[in-house]
Amino acid sequence: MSEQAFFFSNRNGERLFAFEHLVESASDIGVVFCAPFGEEKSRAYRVLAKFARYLSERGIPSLRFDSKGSGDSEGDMVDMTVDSLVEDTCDAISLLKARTKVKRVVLIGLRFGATVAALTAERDERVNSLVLLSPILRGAHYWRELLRMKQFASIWLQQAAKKSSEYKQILERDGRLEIEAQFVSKVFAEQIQQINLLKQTPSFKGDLLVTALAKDSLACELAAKVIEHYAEGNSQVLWTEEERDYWSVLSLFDQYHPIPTFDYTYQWLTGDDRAALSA
Amino acid sequence: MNEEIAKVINQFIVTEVMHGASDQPLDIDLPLLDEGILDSLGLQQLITFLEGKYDIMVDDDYLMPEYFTSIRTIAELISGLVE
Repeated sequence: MSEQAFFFSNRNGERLFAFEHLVESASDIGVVFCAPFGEEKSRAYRVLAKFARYLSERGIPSLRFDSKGSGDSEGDMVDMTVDSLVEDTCDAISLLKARTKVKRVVLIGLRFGATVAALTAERDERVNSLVLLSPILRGAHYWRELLRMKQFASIWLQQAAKKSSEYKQILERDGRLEIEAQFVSKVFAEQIQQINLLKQTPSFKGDLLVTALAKDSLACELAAKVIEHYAEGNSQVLWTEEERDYWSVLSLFDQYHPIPTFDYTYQWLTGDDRAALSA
Repeated sequence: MNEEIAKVINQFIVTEVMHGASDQPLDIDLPLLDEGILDSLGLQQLITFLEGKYDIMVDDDYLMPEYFTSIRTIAELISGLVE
């Protein structure tokens, strides 16, 4: 097993940072990780790194990467759009296939990364399986969550928070809005709010695994709806529960890693124990 | 202030925000923001939880620091919205 960091060019010639985890023997399955957005990406960074290593120790190669405008990749976040995230993911799939020769491509996405993974699967037929870890299903709710972060940051600083309508005016006026110390464009904001994974019949017909936080009954309800939504024509669709929201804690310090989710995902991907998992 | 709501808030902060760092409930007048018990993320998690639990919405008009200084003030806000 070997791993290395490097840069690759996306379809627009922009340099994206990537980290590949290779394995010694040939593998049928290869994984591309789709990271969360913003602060959640930082908080879950170590979890996804551990997940990639967990898989490579078990013979599954993977690729983690930073989309344009994030992490170590070229570009600014203000240039990021939902379309650019999907395109970068497609380009990452091409890279994975070229470097590992895997036949089956799995996208593992967390939170908004899971949303991007699902959208990518709609556009790219090379995606065979999807693992959506606590996916954002409705962009409008997620956008409200992001604005809420700004509002509560103001309160924490002992200042009155701006209203949502004021942020909307700022977006209209400036064409961008500061979210978690970076600028998000009006186009990106609008695209996020238009996302509703439960609205259209999905064209993706591969295998699907969805997870939801056990203590969040609404998330569990929505996960079940995702399953229903994708069930027709899919070979296997399943959901399971997570114990902790590991994307909202600094896992480096908290030392919580969702090993049960790693185990479950691995077993599901390799079919080692699918009969038991489906029960 | 609804005592039960105050207990729920206390429990949530101790177990979900402080991750069990305290084995005792907090003083309901402890200044949560000043003492660093709640940061912006913790505050958001708490309010999102309370909105879900009591099926309420904390409107933008209530997003002022004085409503979130202590367990007591938060409980008073939520109690008012629940009624």
